[in-house]
Amino acid sequence: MAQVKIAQVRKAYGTNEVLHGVDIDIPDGSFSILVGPSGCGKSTLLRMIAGLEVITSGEISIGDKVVNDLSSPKRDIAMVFQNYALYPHLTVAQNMGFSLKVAGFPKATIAAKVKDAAEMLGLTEYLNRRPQKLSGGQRQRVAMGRAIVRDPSVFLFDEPLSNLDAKMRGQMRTELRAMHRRLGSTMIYVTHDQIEAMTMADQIIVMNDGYAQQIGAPLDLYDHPANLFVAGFIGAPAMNFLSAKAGGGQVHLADGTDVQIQIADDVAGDVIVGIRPEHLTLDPNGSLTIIVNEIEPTGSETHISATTQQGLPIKMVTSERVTAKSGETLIVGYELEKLHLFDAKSTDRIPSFEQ
Amino acid sequence: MTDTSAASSAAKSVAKASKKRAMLDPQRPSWATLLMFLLPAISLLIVFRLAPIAISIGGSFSSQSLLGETTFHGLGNYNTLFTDEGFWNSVRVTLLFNIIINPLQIFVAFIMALLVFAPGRFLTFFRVSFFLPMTMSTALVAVMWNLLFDPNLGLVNSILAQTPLGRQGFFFDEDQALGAMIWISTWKGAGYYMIFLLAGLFRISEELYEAAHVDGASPWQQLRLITLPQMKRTFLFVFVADTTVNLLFFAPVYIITRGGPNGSTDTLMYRAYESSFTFVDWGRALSLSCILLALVVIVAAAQMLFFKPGEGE
Amino acid sequence: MSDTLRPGTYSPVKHAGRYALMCALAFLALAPLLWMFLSSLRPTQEMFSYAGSFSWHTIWPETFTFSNYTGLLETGFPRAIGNSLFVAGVTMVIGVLVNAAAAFAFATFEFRFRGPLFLLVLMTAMMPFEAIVLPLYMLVNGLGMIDTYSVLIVPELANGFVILMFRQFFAAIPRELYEAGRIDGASWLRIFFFIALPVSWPVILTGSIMIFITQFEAFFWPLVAAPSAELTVAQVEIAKNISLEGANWGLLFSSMSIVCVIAALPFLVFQRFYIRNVASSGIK
Repeated sequence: MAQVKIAQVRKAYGTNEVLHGVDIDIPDGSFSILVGPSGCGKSTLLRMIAGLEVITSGEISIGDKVVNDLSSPKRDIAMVFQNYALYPHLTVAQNMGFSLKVAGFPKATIAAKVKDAAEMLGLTEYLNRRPQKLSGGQRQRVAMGRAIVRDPSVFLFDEPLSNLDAKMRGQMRTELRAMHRRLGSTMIYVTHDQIEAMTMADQIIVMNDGYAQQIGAPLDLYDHPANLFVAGFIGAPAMNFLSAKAGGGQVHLADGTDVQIQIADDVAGDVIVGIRPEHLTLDPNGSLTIIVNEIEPTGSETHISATTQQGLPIKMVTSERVTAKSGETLIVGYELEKLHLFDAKSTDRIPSFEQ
Repeated sequence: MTDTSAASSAAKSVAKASKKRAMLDPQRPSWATLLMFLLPAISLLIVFRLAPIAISIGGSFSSQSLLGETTFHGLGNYNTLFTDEGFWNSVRVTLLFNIIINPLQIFVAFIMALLVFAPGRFLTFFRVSFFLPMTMSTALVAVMWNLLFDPNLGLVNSILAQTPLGRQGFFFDEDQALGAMIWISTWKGAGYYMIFLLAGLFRISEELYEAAHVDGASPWQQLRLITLPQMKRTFLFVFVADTTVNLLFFAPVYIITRGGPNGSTDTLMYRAYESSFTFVDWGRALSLSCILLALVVIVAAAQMLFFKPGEGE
Repeated sequence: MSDTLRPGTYSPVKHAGRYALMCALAFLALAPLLWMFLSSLRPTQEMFSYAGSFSWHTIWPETFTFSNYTGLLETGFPRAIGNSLFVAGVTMVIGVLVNAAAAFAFATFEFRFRGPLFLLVLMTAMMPFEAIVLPLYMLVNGLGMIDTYSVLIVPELANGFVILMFRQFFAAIPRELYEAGRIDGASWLRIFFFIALPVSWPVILTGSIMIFITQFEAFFWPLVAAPSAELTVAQVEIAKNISLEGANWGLLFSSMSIVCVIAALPFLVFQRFYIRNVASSGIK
């Protein structure tokens, strides 16, 4: 077991820099998830930790060792690939034992370790099958088993659930959490799916454009997004953004209504008010008037797509049943402490807002 | 990049570590590993494929005495060649052979491919039958057809004797020998090229035909408007492969006619062989070799020229 | 194409025409081979008795005998076929390894001169061997290799076309498979032998057949490079016999039949793999 430290890590292909100096601390034994849209650099970073890509500059250390110049097998890591990368010509047992065989372990030891891992993953009856004869979920488990038998300090996962169907994905999420509890190892997991990140992680690293945008516990990111990108990326449906002007300690929405919140006097100019769809409520005394476009009842809750009076799209999620038709207006309100305020130019959260 | 000082220090540290990195980069294995994988094949290709080309070019500009002394001869070999009536006969024979056989072989191969492509029964049998002659070596094909075409004892003549045509001379007839060569080469080669054309046919999306069919295109129009344009690349490949082989036509000439009768099958390759091993004139042999190499290169280069990337596929 | 005909397009005349044409072509392709094989079972005294006028027995032997086959034992043919099999077999085993290794490097690694070296491979794949037989003869003559087994084997080990075929297959293997191997601690050599090669058995099969057949059917090179009787290969031996005055046709037929069967067997057994791999590597 070991913590992973990523310090000022950059990656460039020729003159094209894709990671611009990333700092991340991954605590020992944590389940940390790198999440972001495709092309944000999360997979590159994971592959650099794995030793599959050269680190252009900066330092990655695992435990107390800087691993920049160590080859993959010497880094004490194991990796689960998106397409599993199971050796098609080997049986499940041979796949799981491959690394031990390479390392020169005696046959009996390999067999025992493979057996333990197979029991843990419910693969015992498939040990003599070839990967082609397994379902997607079973292949996924074999890929994990291959990592487990090595007993590494750090597990790396590269979008391991993206090839599974929705139901299987849900089940594997639970199993992965259980596996993490049981092994207690450090796990670093890459995904583009923010729900996966929210439900599984101890710590989420939101990445975009080669920068780590924010690092924190899932609910921290939800409650206090550091900037517009994180605010829009975490949470579904995505947060609503309303343009507003600030000045003299006050915020005025574009529709003319004031937002009754206190901000520092020196904040002035264009700001953006963020409000999550689930924090809007049907309230006859509310301050916002919206025009309904579509009502999508999902059973447990109702999703309302609407536009503000300025014609900006706005979404709302409520547990009430709404009978309004397209074109009708609704009056909605919100709790002030659930509002988020961002600087329109820098896109950063305006911190003085929190009281 | 906003932070220039960090960037420059990063660049420095990269430069410092670059040598070490090169060995660690998973895409760049150590030199020892690389050599282990590449050296055997590459050195063999250089020694036994590339070096002979150099020898051929160098040798064509020099002459060798009987004692094996090599002296620079300039264009002397070529001058002698170009004033030699026999050389021009060989050029004529080689070109005539190629002008006829390449289109013919590919045409037959394409007919075969179309026949076994459309759905039907027993197609595996027909595919294998068409392909089987290709498994026979050129040398054995020559021996077998030499026996079949034997003027007195061959099967073909005992059949022809029953017809108004009567017995034919085939390889012994100055007017028929080259035609007989073309026949036996087509017999062997058509099935081989059929396989490439068949693969090309299978690569065309079935939906194109379905769309054309719904649009009312007749089978002939479908062939002309879909199949042929889509097969451009395949045809080009097959044509080049076929031509490079046929420019160097040798074994049947050596086995059956030795260039005869009366020079009617005296291909350039056979002439080159004769120059070196019968007349031991290596200067002439290598200049002939060079001319053949140049022809092959021209054909291959023509392929590159005709093939515009992104077209066809 | 699918197996179902589209409604309203079936024409019995066209159908019959197509099958008639296919049968005619199949007959032209197979009849000479059949004649050769049947004639190999004909006794010597019967060989020419029906050649003068065509009859049923011009094709079908009156009596069948294996004497043409047993008779081969007293000729140079057993030695020649042994030479052919030895040369082709050794070239095949070493050649597959050498070419696959180079192809693996081209498909997997990034290195300096990769472009120019690959161009060399492409060039040699396009150039027929016959084009360089004469200068190559001078070269091996200078190296003192004439009339050895090595001269028949070594120049044919590296094969540009086989390298291209392997490279295409290796490049299509998901990179993650190699990366998983790296993370599992395997060296590149181990990845090559225990991951890349086992996964590539269809190409290994095709490449082996290709090299074996190329060598087994070679004529020009063994003719000039290994002229001595002990090193004569089957193709050259048979071609020699035909030019003899009063060649024994029975022995020619039987030796040819044997050589043809040896060369055709791999194709017939593995035709599906062979056709698929050769055809696809040719066009891409």
